[in-house]
Parts: sequence; C-alpha cells; structure tokens
Amino acid sequence: MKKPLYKTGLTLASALLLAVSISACGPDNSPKSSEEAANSGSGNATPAAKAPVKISYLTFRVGTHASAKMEEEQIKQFNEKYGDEVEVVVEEIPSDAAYVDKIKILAASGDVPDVVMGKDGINDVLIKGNLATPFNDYLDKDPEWKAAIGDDAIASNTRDGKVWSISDQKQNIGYFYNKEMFEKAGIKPAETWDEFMSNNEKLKAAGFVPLALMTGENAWTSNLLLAAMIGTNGENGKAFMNTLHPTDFNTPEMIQALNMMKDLLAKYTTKDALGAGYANAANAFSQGKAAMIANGPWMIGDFSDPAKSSEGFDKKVGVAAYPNNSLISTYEVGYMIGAQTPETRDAAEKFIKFKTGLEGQTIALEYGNVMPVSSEVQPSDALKEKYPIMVESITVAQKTQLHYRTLDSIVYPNVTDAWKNLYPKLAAGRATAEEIAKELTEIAAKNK
Amino acid sequence: MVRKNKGYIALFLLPTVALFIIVYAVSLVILFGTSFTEWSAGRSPVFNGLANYIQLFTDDSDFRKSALNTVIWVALQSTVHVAIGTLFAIILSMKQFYWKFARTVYMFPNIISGAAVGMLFLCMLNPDFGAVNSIVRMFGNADYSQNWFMDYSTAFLSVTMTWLPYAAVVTILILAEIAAIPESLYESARIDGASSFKINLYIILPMLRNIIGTCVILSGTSMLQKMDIILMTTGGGPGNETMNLPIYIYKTALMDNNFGYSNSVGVFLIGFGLIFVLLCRNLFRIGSSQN
Amino acid sequence: MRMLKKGLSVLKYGFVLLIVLLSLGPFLWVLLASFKTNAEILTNSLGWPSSFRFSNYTMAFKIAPISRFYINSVIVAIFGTLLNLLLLGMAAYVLARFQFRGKKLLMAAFSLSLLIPGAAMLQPLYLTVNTLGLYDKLIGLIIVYTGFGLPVSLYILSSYFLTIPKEMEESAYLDGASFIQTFFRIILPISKPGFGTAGVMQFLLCWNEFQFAIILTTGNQSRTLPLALYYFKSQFASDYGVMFAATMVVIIPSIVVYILLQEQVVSGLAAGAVKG
Repeated sequence: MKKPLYKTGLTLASALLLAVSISACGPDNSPKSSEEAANSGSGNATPAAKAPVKISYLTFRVGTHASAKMEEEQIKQFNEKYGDEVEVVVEEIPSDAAYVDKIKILAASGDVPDVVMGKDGINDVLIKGNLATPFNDYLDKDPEWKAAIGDDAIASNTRDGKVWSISDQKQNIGYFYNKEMFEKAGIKPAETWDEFMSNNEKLKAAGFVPLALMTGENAWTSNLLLAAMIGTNGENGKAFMNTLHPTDFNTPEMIQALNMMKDLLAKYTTKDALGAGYANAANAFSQGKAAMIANGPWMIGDFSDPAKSSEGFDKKVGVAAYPNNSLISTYEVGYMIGAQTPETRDAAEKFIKFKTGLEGQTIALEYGNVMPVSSEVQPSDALKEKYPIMVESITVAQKTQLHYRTLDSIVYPNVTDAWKNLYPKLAAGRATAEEIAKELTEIAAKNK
Repeated sequence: MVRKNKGYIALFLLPTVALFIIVYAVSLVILFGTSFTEWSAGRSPVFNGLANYIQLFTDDSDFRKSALNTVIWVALQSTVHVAIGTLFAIILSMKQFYWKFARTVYMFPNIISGAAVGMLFLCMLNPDFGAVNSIVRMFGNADYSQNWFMDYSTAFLSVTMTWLPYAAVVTILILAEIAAIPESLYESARIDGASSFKINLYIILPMLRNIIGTCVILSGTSMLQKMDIILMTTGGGPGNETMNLPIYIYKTALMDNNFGYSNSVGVFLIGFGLIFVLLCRNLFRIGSSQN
Repeated sequence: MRMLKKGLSVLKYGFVLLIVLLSLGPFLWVLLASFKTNAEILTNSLGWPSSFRFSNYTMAFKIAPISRFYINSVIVAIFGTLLNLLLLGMAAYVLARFQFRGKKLLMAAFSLSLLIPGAAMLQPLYLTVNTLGLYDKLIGLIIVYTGFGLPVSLYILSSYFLTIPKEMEESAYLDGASFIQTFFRIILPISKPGFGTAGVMQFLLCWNEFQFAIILTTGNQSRTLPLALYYFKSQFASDYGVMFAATMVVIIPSIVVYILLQEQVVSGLAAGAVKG
C-alpha cells in the first residue's frame, strides 16, 4: 500500500531536485564572452598575463536591425585587437523599446552597464542620476580621437562643458524617390514646399500614391517630413529644430507643419498610413506602391535586397534633399560610460574609442551604410560600386545649406511616444493642429 | 480533523507563502510605499504625501479614460467572454463528432503569446493588404479600406475582438468540471424525460457555479493586465481611445520616467481589482463546497 | 417543438463554425504568409504562395539564436509547470478543505497577486531576483513564473478540489491513511483534470512570457523563445515573410505540446467520471 505513495513523492522530489540542479548549472556554463556572443569564434589571442577586464554592453543592433552587421563586425574586430585586455560581455536585446525599458530598470536599480547607448532619453536619465562619467579627460589625452569625432559632434553631446557621450554616426536624412514615377508624372524633386505639394497632386493624378507615411511606432517617416517643414520655416523654425528638449510646441511653425501633415495624411499617402509601422511604409516604397519615403542612407541596402525589393529596383531610386535646399543632419547620441570603477571605466573608454574612432566609423560605413562623423572616412570603391545611391546621397548632402535635427533627437522620449496616438486624432479631425500642439506641450511637461 | 492536521496544513502552505513573498510581497511594499513619493528612474524617491493621488483624481483626463476603458473591458470579459466559453463547453460536452477538433482549434489563439497575436491581428486587419479587407473587396466593394485599428468608430471594437471571442480557457476549465459530474445524474434526468436542453439548463449549469465564478474572476482580472496586444495594435490610440490602466502605468513609468505617479495608478488598479474579486466571490459564493 | 429543436441545432452549428473560423483563420493566414515573399504578401494577401519556399524559415534560424532559446524555453516551461503544480496543489488543497485561522487573510493576499500590474513589478522583481543571486539564471525565471502562475493555479485547483466529495478522504482516514498519503494517493489521482488544465495554463504562461524574460536575464544562455520573435521586429526591419516564419517557429511547438498535453487532460476527463 505504501509503495505507490513513495513513488509519487519520489517523482515529485526528483523533479524538484532537477529544477534546483538546473539552476546550479545555469550560471556555470555561461561565460558569455564577447567572442561567443558575436559569433566570431576566434578572437582569443595569446593568453595575456593579466586577466582581461570585463565590461558589460547592451545592444539592440541584433537580428533584422539595419545595423546588426556593423555591430557584429565592430565587436569582432575589437576582440581581435584588444581581446586580451578587455572582454566585452555583450547582451543582445532584440527590439529598441525593450532596450530602453531595460536600461531604465537597471538605472532605477543602480546597475548601469559599463557601456551604454544613450538614445531615446537614456542619456538624460544617466546624467540626472549621476550614473555616467564624462569624456573630457579622455578626449584631452587623445587629440587624434578628438579630431576623428570632430568639434560639431562633440558639441552636440556636451552639456555644461561636459561631454557625456561620443557620437558614432551622423544622420544625414533626405528622402528617396521613385524616378520612374517622377518621370511619368513629369516632375522633379521639389525646391519649395509649394512645389512639393503640387508634385503630390501630379503624382496622384498620374495614378501613384505620393508618400509612404506612417504614424505607428515612432511615426518615423512622417516625422522626418514634419521636422523638415518646421526646420525650413524661417529663423524660429530653424531654431526650434536645433534646440534640445523644446517645452513649448505651441508655435506657429509647429501648427503650420501639423496642418500640412494633416493634408498629406488625408490625401497623399497609403491607405494604411494611419497606424502603420516602419515595415508598412518601407514596403510601400520598396514594392513600388508609393513614390517617396523620407529615410536615411541605411535603407539603401534594402533596395537591392531581393527579399525586400523587386529586381532592379535600386536603379529606379533617386535621393533628394528637402525643399529650401535643406537636410536633416543629426549626430547620434552615441555611447556613454556607465562603468563605476576606474579599471572598467578605462576599458569602457577603450571600447568606445574603437567604435567611434576612424576604424569603427569605417566599419559602420562599409557594413551598415552609416554616415561617419569624420570627413576623413570615405566610402571604399567597392561600396561606391555596390551602392551608387550612397554616392549620390553624399553629393546631395554636400550641396545643402540649411540643416536641422530629427524630432526624435530633440524632444523628450515621452513626446516621441505620443505621436502614434496624436496623428490619428489629428487626421480624424478630433483635434485641431492647435490642440495637438497644446497637447504636445503638456506631454513634454510631464517628463521627469 | 483540523486540529490533528495543523502541522500538515502549515507544511502545505509554507512553500506557497514563501513564493508569494519572493515574487509579490516585496513588489507590493515598494509599489505602495513609493506611491506617496516623487520618484524617477536613476534618482531616489522623495516623500510627497498624497500629491500623486490628488493629481490622479482631480487633474488627469488620460487616467480617467484609461480607468473607464479598463472597467468596460473587465465587465465585458467577465460576462460576454465567460458566456461564450461556457456555451461552447456545454456544446462540446455533448461530444458530437467535431468536439475534439473544435476544442483543440479553439485553443490556438490562446496558445500564442499576446505579442504574436497582436502582430497577427495587425496584419489581418491592415487596411491595405489585410485579409479582412481583402475578403470584403472580393465581394464587390473594390475600394474598401476600413482602417480598423485607427478609425475612431472601430478602434475600440477591433481591439476588443482580439480577445473577447477567444474563451478557450473558460471552455477547458468548464469541460473538465462537466466531466466530473456523475453520469448517474444525467441518466436519472433522462429517465424522467428531460430534454438535453433542459438538462443543461437546470442540472448542469447550477453544478458549475464554483467554476464559472472562478472563470469570471480569472477572465475579469486578466483585463487588469492586458497590455501587449493593445501596444502592438493600437498603442492606446487613436488619441486615448483604447488606452487602459496597464498601458498608462507602463507609459508613466517608462516613458515619463515618473515611477512614483505610476505606482499610485498601480495602487488604484489593485484596489479596483480587489473590489471586483470580492464582489465575484460573494456573488458566486466561491469557496463553499458544492450543494 | 420540433421547429424549436431544429432552430437550436442550426444555431449551435453556426456558433461552432464561427468559433472554429475565428480561431483557425488567423493561424492559417500567417502559415500561408510565412511561405510568401514580401511582394506576394502585399499584393496577394489571400492567395496561395507561388511556391512553398522555405527560405524564410532558414533565414529565421540564421538571424536569431532560436535553437538555444528553444532548449531554455523547454526547461523553463517544464520545471516552471511542475513546481507550480506541486506547490499550488498542496496549498489549494489545504485552502479548499480546511477551516483555520488566517485563511481569509491568506486568500485575500493570494488574490492580490492576480491584480498587481506587471509594469509596476518590473523594477522590484529585478531587485529581488538580483539580491537572491538568481539574475540571469534559468532557476530565477522558473521561480518567478511559478509565482506568476500562483493565482490562476490556486483558483483552478481549489475550485476543482471543492467538487470532490469529502467522503472520499474520510474513508481513507478510516482506513488509517495519513494526511500526506491521502493527498498524494486519493486526491491527486482524481484531480487529474484540474491539474491538467492548470498545467496547460502554467505551461503557456512560461512559454510565452517576454517582458520579465528580457529584464531578468542577460546572456543568450538563459533566454527564452519569445525573445526570438523580437529579433525580427527591430527598428528599420521590413521583411514580413521572415517575421511570419519566425512566428510560426515559435507557435508550432506550443501547439504540438498543447495537443500532447491535452491527451493527458482527456484521460483525466475519463478518470474524473469515476468519482462521486
């Protein structure tokens, strides 16, 4: 009678034991060396006398992210060069939103990683929380590196004289257009906003959808246009688009731009633009459904990728600056030092220096079509041949005279998050442009 | 019987109590404590009394809309959703030829993670290439392009439809319970000449009181956590049309960096949930044995 | 009367059909789409794919560390479920069967766990798990998920125990069985359907949870499958076909597991008829 009972008990007990034993082996087999995470396999050069300093680094540039290849290559090359001094423990965080969430949780608990990408307001959290180390001393010690980054890029990440992060890329963003459609509609890229609007009308008349807009996620392609409308609207507009953390959105320039955007959303875009994510907008353009998309050069690779575009599509794509001979030009926030001990700080600095120095910038350009911050880094001939649009976009960028930043890089992150709810409200006529502007102001005030 | 087993009772409860403390108690204390503070990521909390709560109830229209939506969704889920599941369980319990197939298939949407379901519906209901609009177009209306998730007239309904009909959990819970009903009960009823409809109505349903109550609580409270599908489909929009409290909490904490305020919303949510659970427990007299 | 019966029957079949369509439709649509190219998905969303290409699937496995995550998910789901059923089975039994001081308080506390918003638990749980040294360990996830399933399992199991007639245990006691013997030998076997359903719920919870999985782990050695899905939704990603293929890769095993587990529940259903 007793045997079956013990049997059951034993089974359950052994299950428990097993569960515990898994926990025991869980941590042991997790050396998590950067080599492994980056799938490079090799990288451990001759064993150094001193054990390499371990630093932690979180990246969202994995999977299908446009910069995944460049991230992998940068880490691989860093390991080859400095693997015996510094061991980068890479944590992959698929999805940009999850990355921001996790860093904020870590910051709230005081466990910031040693190297942090400061995008989407993370830099503010770390600066306010006194969790980051400025780069001033490091830069002063290494003028070569300082020169490779350039004064503009450094200035864009300086607050009260302290350089909090090192930018790893310059975002020069105009828009791509479908040459075939433009030809059929008998138009060329617009030089004024009036011409832009009449182009839309002509494209529509020729039977094309003019713009690949989106209001979901961070409303990326729509907000690039919105930024251009504001940035080209007089001195005030230009000033607005070059100010960090605007708190007053109730400006004539913003309201005018919102009204224009309302028009575009109503008449000149795809049926699914309201609520669309980046994938929808990108496909609308790459699959030849829409004539224009505002986006940066990292998209160029997609035009010759058979999974994303039709055969020969890259030949049809042209690149243009925004009206008034202007362009979005933003320095990324880049990397910050979150490390708390002197050794890890130095190691973190070494890693960041590699990523943002001339070597790192070259890798980023060649593997991710990312614009370098230094003018010394030029595309290789192979790259030029592979992506002629890349060359074209550099030429277009050089000709522009008026520059402003992206909205994402100047507004508080909670404002970036609000567009996806506000645009549909505007488009449905539930709120006027003035009311939306007021709401944006209120949201910015909520930021802590 | 109780006195004799006191030691065993404690022994059986102890692990779960420990689990509760590890997973929930600490969170609860932090949640409650910091709801009276001003606290943002990376800085330490500063006591500010009832300021968060006062703002919450007097000056926050997004909160009011979120709370209202949450209440509506809890109400729908604890009635319509449970009713659909129960009805389906009773039909399946007749064990007609399709019952195994239907039961398995019904579970599919519940097996898939919320984020994946959200993504799936986002594509299905895409105004341009989504399956739903394509079907409508097939039936003649060539220009049909309803934007289900972003149009004010359909957004709330569309989001609701991503979970309301999928009551497979309720169905399997009730099926398990029906199986436990002694065969002899049916037989005696049949001998008395009752139709199967009447048997279901007068004999089966009352026997299911406890489990239906449980389903009402579980389904209703699941709406106090609903977030991933909404974030994936409408993100709470258009405007704040489909915002609920979990999303509001998430946004306040991780977008506004306002952990303190967010936690005061959390306390409100817990309070509301407690009232709902207590109400259901009394309504269905859960905890008392059958008969 | 006959008309009424026929009408009811038509209604019944209509209802079943609708439910089946609503459940199967989205799944089949994604399955079809996972074989299509981007262009096909966008232009011919209802049609058959031009050919059954598996390139989306091979691509999916290349992009994300799916197989590693798979193993982790299986471990976490199995042990998270077993541990949960064991602990909550014991607790639910005691709470359903016996009257003792503090029971109401305990029930109220446990009910609370159903209500705490996940977003509010992210940071505190990270702190707790880290302090206990369970950060980035599978056992950490197992314990946390065991806890997340606390309220649901508790409700399902205790409501099931309530349907078991008291006489069964009383006769066992008369035969001289001890408390523990009674629970494991009498109660457990006849509660199979209850454990089956609670087990399915718990398994799915462990299998699908994303937010805490990413906060509580750091290396790929201890990450689970739902994270793989997000490798395809990064910013500036636009390949639907691969995304759908990855979705299928994540979904299909859970469907298979469910169908297999379900047989357990079914055999339990048959056993359930014995009691009473």
